[in-house]
Amino acid sequence: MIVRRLLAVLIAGASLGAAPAPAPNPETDRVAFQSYFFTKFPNVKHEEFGNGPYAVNAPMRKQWEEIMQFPPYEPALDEGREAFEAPFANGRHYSDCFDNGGDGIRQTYPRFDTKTGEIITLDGAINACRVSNGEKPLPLQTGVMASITAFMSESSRGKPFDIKIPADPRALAAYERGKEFFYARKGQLGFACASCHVQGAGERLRGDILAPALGILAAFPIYRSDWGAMGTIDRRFTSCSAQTRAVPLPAQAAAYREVEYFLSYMSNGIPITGPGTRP
Amino acid sequence: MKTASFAFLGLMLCASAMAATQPDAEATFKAAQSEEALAKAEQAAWTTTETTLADAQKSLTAQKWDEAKALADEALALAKRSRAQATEQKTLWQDAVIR
Repeated sequence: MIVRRLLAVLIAGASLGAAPAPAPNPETDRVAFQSYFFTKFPNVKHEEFGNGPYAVNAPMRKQWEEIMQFPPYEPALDEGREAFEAPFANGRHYSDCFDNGGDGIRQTYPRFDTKTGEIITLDGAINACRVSNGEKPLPLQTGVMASITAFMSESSRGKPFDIKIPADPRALAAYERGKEFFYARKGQLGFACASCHVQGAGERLRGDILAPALGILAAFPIYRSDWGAMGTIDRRFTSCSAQTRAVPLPAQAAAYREVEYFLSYMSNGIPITGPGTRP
Repeated sequence: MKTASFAFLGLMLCASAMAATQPDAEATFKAAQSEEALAKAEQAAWTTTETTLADAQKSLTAQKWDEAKALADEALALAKRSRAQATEQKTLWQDAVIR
């Protein structure tokens, strides 16, 4: 009898003391996320975070400023403008698929699509536009896709990320899955995205200076010297996965779109700097 | 002389017990493939498991049963570990969140 009462008291005490799991709150997350980086890099102007490693490492910045005399992504900008302005076989254009004719809208992607309950990235929207106009989707990691997103990003330069999470439980769930993907360790090396871009931000990993996660997608697409070519966010995600010895997911996999949604929301207020260049 | 003969016989028996047979190697390879398929479905697969499985397949084709068995064992262990990592991280990731 005494034992049973004691157990009842213990169970009651435990249930009173157990703190309920906090409800997901993207805005609270964003404020904490940005404060972390503003505190870690007190001398970096907030709008500079879109410049990745060049914002936090002076010698690299100097080299970058010299590279930017002749930006290596310029041929992609020309190709992107030409592709964007060319009509589809049905006579319609990319501009018919986007708000404001596609001008200055990159900072609002990714978006949550209330019809499908899915996250739509800019790259995904470009391919959806093609398919809806009877064209084949473009390969997602480089080539014309990178050129079109470069052209569209340039029209958004200086505009701060403005990602919305609508009051829809599916949007919040997608955000939470993206957050989990960012912080969960993966691959045989056991690295999370956060291992390099939060804990390791600004540090050197072999020959690279690791970019802070804040604003990390603002410069995409990028011309990467290591690739010798332009690459999209998908290209970066798949190569990051492989570097941790995780089998990369297919480009535009739901998990990649969701982590892009999470990271872009975390960067709300940080200006678009793309297209960019990286070592 | 008698002791030496017994030792030699013992060694021969051990060696034959340790040598992998074709069915052993193939069974382990299938087990590793199944485990890796589950890891992929859970988006938890490792590139090292994939390359080790591919090497095991090559050894099977070359009828090198010992080598195939050893590689398949390794691939199986890697696939199991990758799935265990994904299970652990389902809760552990929350400890890393910036708050």
